[in-house]
Amino acid sequence: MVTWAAFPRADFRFTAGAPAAFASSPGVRRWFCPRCGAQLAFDQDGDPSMDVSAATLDDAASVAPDRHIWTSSALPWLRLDDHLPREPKETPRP
Amino acid sequence: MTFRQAGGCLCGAVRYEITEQPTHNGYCHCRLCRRATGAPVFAGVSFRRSGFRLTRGEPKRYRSSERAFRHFCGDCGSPLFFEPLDAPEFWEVLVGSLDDASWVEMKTHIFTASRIPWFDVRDDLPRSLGWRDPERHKDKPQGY
Repeated sequence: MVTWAAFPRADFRFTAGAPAAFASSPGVRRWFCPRCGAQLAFDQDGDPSMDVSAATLDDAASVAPDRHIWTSSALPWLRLDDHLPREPKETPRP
Repeated sequence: MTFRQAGGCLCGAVRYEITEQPTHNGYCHCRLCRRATGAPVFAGVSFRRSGFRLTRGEPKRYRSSERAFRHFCGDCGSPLFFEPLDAPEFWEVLVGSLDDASWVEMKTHIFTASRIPWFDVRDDLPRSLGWRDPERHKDKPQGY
């Protein structure tokens, strides 16, 4: 389970270190710290946003999520305490 | 009945298997666990080291405090294991790395005092603000 906070890529930059990227699919980059393994961000070709893993923000409380995606793959025993819309896959956003 | 579960990282460079029943399954909401995984909560399965073996590859490990290593795949970054140095016979596997996690039955929440305000799990499991047994961990109140 990951909570992504999407930002325009122009408004995002790494300020320290050299993160590693793993291409989990063609054109996709999952950014992580090669020293500790922390999962940091996700972006892909043709998408103007950088998705940051909200849990790594210094102030994670500031970015409440507004939907669930890929619930078709959710663990059967995991019930989150929220009333957010749930999407079996992912509906693209404008 | 024989217990056997397998898992690994996203790219498949590191694979493992567990051949003993877990000793505990739980959520940890502490800041270190969140940061180490990038997930809003750490969900782990504890097991005896004797019932665990790597079947492919070798993870990297990071010393997140003087008392623990966190293991991850150096190729794809997937967080995999938690190794507590003060209880080396018990390791934790991250639930998300199991090939099949549908059988896992979570038992507790710890460090709920650090929980992200907008994130919670709906259940009636016992919860503790910090450690389940604060006396045992009194010298490391903030976790590993």
